[in-house]
Amino acid sequence: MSPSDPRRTVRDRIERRALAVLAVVTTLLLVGMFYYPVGAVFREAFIVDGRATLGLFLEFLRDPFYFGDLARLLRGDPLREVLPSLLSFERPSSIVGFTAYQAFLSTILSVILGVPLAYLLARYEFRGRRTLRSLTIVPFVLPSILVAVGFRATFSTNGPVNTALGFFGLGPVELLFTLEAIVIAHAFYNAPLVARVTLAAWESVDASAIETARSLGAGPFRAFRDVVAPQLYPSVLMGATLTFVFTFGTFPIVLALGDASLMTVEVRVFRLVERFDYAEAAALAIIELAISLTILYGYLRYEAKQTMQSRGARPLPRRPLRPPALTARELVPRIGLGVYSVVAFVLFVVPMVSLVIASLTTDGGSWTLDNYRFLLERQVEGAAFQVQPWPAIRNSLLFGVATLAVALPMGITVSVLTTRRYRGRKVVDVIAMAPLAVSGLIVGLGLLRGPVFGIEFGGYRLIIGGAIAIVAAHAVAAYPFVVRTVAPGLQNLDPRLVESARSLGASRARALVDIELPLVWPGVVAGAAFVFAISIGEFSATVLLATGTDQFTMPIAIERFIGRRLGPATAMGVVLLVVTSLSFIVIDRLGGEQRNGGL
Amino acid sequence: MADSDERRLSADQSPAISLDGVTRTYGATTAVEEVSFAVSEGEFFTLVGPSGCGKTTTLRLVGGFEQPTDGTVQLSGEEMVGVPPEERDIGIVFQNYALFPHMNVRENIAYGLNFTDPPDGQTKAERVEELLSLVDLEGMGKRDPDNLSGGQQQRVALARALAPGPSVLLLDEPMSALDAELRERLRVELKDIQQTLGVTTLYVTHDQEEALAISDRVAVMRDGRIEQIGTPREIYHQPATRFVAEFIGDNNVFDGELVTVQEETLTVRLDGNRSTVVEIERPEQGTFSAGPLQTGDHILFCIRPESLLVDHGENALEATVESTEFLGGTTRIQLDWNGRTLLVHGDKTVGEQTTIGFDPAAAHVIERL
Repeated sequence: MSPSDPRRTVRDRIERRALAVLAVVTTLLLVGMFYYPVGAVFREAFIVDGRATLGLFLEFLRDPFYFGDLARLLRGDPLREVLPSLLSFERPSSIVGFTAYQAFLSTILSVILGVPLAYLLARYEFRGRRTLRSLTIVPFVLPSILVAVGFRATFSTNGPVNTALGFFGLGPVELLFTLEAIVIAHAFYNAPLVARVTLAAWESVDASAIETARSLGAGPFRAFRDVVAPQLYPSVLMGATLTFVFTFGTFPIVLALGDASLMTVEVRVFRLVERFDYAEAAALAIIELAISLTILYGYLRYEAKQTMQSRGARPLPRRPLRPPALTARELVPRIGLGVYSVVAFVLFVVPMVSLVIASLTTDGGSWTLDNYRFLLERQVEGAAFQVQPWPAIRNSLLFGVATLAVALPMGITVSVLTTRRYRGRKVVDVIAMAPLAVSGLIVGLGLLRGPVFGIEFGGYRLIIGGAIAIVAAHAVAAYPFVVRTVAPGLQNLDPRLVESARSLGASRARALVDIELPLVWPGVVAGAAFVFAISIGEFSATVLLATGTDQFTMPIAIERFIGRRLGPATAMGVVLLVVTSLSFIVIDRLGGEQRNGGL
Repeated sequence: MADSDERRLSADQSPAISLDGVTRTYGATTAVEEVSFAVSEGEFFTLVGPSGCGKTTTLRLVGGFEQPTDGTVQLSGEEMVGVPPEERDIGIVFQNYALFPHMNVRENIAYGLNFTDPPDGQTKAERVEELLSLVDLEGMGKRDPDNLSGGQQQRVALARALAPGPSVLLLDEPMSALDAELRERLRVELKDIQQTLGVTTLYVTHDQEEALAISDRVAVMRDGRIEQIGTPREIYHQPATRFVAEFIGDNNVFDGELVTVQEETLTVRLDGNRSTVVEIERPEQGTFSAGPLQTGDHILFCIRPESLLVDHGENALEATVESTEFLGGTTRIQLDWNGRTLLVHGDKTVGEQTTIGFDPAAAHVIERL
């Protein structure tokens, strides 16, 4: 074909503009699926009867039901009366107070459990170390409702823990529906996160720096204190901050493991939506968002000051787990790790094993496949089960595929846009990554109040179906993970590769398809696995959007079953576990070992 | 080879560093094998060799970061096996400098003074200032290491290592991350500082030119063993093995059979072309362990490119110019001589036939094969 061939020029033009078109489409999707709905939530909260007001917020701030002692102060109660209970370390009864309290306890436990894991992985060599290291990524893909079912199966009256305790004539312990259960479940989720970020810092400590300290006269413990610890604690703090923010916004775990006396902000928002108090729900959700963002912002300010270029030229050598000599110095840390492993085993492995066992047994304890047979039933007799199992599985898979189709191109486009150099790149980065910081409940509420109920467009009423809204919510939650797996790869590619391709005649978009994407393919597949896993497990937005429709997914079905019969809930939990495990394997093989995880 | 160290030592003084038969193995691989050398007080001693030759492992054995599988390491006459690094009175500078990223320049330099009092009754602050000025970084004390150039980071690392006044300074390729021009400037400064302080220095590098330029004595290492120890001039002019001859600078190595052995000279029939017989100076007696050289022996000898002269009548070899490289001060010519490559300096064009020759005294007999 000659250059003047009309077909070729048309195709050229399309190709030349392809990237711009993708950018525009992605922007429109982001606005429609995220910024517009979130905006709707803000409008709901700030505009009452057509007038802008802060009234709702002030009411919340002065209501002891939400803000406890702080509200009493704001209402004008004398400081002298409020101070004693403000300073006491008892469990606060107000909703925000309790939310912060349980988040604080969860954070402490997550750090206590996460740091030894980082120590084990960073400093010891043993069989299965790499597998264990990979498993720390599981919290990113494991639906939290699954953890809730696992805990229900573990600590129920005839579950394995109480059976074991009964064998020794102890127990039973009643952990369910207590603060302890919630905190432990949060630690299950967040300790691996703390371990992961701490481990990344530990592995980037340069052995030369420690050797230098030793050569200057520092003993081994002093060298650890002066050289290793200062490089670790910013990461521990980062893990703790993230844990606090995540557990402050906790929802499914408290919904499934808590009772009426254990209510967090998000659960309260959900209850308000159920009662159609949309404005109050919106205002409370915004308060939660503000608190979370303040903590994150404060942390990021701190982090910016602490950031250190790690030049881990030579990582620390790992010691064998089997002690090379029977001296106290070799034995003490290993015994500590042994004790830790037992605790970790009970906490991390038993719930998942209990889940599988419970799905295969009857209430009486004999083996059965009934729970799985139940999943295939399309029609369930009686009114007790409004939620049918098979449609839930079908919906989950359909939504997963649809989310993939939306989120993957979006994620790749954003990756390309945020790895090129131009003015304002940081702004684009923030705008594109904002969905990571905003709770699914807010997105769900926004989608519900906006597109799902209908938007007026010059006399026309645009109504988006629940299914599309659910896919939109999933896509918004998931696509940042594609960016996190694809962008580092693109960033590390030699820009001369694309320049060579373009000098040879390829358009920018063509170079992306021919050169860059094939080279970062593992990251793309890992991103896809993330998207699928997140869509399958998403709870917060889905529960709002699916209420009263037949668009419910597996996690929603599990939550409905859980209160009535544990068996079917565990069976569906196992299905969910298998799907997310497969996603995990894909991520691990192809993209899980990104340095620092990017996560 | 090793007699030169003994000459430097006064009888009653132990060497600052002394390794005796040191071997370090990792499982089946041997990193360092039977290494012995002694560095006297105040000496600048360099380990040079290609990557993987065991030079860095040797340095780490001296620093106490590795323990020998066999043999002994002594510092100032004290046995060091099992003594941790913090008790060895050493300072070390790594290739990547390993500056503590969470401390500023001043805190980095002062770190070692937490464990030792500054020498000469100085305060900590005075000592840090003294070192900052020693390495020409006055006023930079409050900077973060990240905001320094590579050369500045290197100097901070050096100041940090020197601050406690160590008796031994260990330098592990401290120049290799810098560009060539800076490297040359800094090595002059480093040598200056080392001589001012008189600190015993063990230097590791893969750069033979650097090794010759900076050292009092050099040990050339290969495959975990020491090939030769000597002053830079000895190493350059009297290489003890073919490896040393070829690793240190450009060289032309010939092999041949001794035809006659006379009082002053040897005649050699070259293996490259059996019809060529050359005359070279006879080395001093006793240089070769298995007795004096005899007719019929096979020997290796070498002639530096600068001593192999074009259009020279003595010991003439006929060769063809293969390629030329203009190097500024001189032009290096690659010649083809009976399928072997020779390097000479001179002015010729590619394809030209030429006669090259050399003075018998310019040849150095490396070893008997």
